[in-house]
Amino acid sequence: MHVSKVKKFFGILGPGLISAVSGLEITNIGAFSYVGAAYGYKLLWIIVFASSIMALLQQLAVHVSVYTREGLVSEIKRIVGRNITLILIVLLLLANIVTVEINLIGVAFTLQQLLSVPWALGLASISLIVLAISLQKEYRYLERILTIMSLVLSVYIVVMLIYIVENPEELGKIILSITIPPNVEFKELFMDILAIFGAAAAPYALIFQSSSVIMKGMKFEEVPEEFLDILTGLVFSTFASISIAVVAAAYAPPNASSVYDIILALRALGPYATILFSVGVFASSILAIEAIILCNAYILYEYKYLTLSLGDVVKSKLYSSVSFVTIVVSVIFAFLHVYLRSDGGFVDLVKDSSVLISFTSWVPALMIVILYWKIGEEASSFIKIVSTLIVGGLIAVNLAGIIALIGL
Amino acid sequence: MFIDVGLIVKVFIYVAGGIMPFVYNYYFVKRKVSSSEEGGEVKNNERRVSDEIQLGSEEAKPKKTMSVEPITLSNTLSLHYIHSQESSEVKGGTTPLYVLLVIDQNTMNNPETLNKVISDVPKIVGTFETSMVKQQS
Repeated sequence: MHVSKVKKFFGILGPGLISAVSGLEITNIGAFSYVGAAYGYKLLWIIVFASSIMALLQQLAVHVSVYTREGLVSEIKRIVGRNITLILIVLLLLANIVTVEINLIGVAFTLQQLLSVPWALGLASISLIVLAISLQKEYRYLERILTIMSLVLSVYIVVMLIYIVENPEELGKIILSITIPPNVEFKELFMDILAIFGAAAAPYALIFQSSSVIMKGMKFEEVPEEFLDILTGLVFSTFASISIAVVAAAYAPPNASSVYDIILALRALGPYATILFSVGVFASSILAIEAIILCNAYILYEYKYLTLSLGDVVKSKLYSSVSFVTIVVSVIFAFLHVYLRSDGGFVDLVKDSSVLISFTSWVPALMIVILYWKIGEEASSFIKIVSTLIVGGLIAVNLAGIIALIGL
Repeated sequence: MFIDVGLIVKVFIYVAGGIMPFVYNYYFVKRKVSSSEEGGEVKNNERRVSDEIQLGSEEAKPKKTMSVEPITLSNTLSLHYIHSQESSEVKGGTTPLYVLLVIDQNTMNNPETLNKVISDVPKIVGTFETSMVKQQS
């Protein structure tokens, strides 16, 4: 192979893998570990399906942002009005708070597992650390260190590869389960499927995608290249997610419920498993929480004023207030959640949060599809129809989930 | 021969709802880009910060012979800037801070520079505001 081609390959591989692995946080790890441990390979295709839908929505977010040159919230406010936008952003903020809450719980429970620190004390400490980092505002250096630390979660990929090397017959089964959906009772697994969608969907990622396109001043000619970046992200994040489910299917106990059970899936790593898992979860959770705080401030900024760069949002007074409120509300949610779920384990907490996130995952999707319809001839009629069906399907499925949850 | 219709439907939804639109959209946009490049058309080079900025199609097209023209008043833009709401000097959300941007045609035709100019407005306004508050106190 030519040297420049090799360089190009690693040029794509590096950032793609880094963003995919650092994007893994406790919601994904918990939900995919549970799915793998409980159902084996049966639901692997749902992970691929949910990730593909997310990637398509990311494509549309890029396309729409290049065309409108405004953030999703600003533009949607212009179209649907102030009040409906307010409802949508409240739902989006709720999804973000739930993500922060479960990440705080995840780190607290992991600290309890690793150092026997009571989870309530761990939760309070980690909340203060996260708040201190976000109020400091200039944490780019720390962000890089945390990204590197979160890369230890790539051990899931390593353990999966070791497992496949030792059991080559499993590779065929995994590929078959991904390409041809196995028979499952959808009705029975409904909530678990919603949890997968919730874990795969990161509503805040779509907001950042749009913001980054606007701030780069991306031209229409550069959009296909951006789509290739999204494809690279899709391939790697799907690969990383599948590796968690496969590793759990291979090594975790079928009724996995605690952090210890999830760590058991990594037992091939021996005594290092707990430390590597803890370091990865700690770093990725802090990264995710800081990103969500920024997203919350950005959404409110867009709603109240106009589209600005993320850097300017961080410098604003609003950012400090949003950091404080996000953390305080999330801590309250976390304590309430653990208290109300005292009969369940950590996996149940992750499932609850993933399902709640799924309930609101359609909000940015709906915004994007409305804007896509508005860009006229620039949009493809086929994609307009497909994306509308996808969002319609997401809303319908989540409504059914809400109805099932409240027992109607 | 037995055909599993349920499986076919599942595979169809899986492919048509997930992977195919993603691939199709990539080629759709790529084709649009190639056709606009062949036609010498440049799309979306103007930055629309709000509906108040609307560039004419003549202005949006880059000119081959760029020359430094006399500065022309191109448009005005009102920013609902955060400080106008928060400042105790200018109370009330209905009082926006008006900023008049005077941009020459070369900048207007260069999206990157225009982007930077507009992004810098809040910082410049912030500096003005601080110095005004200092003077008043």
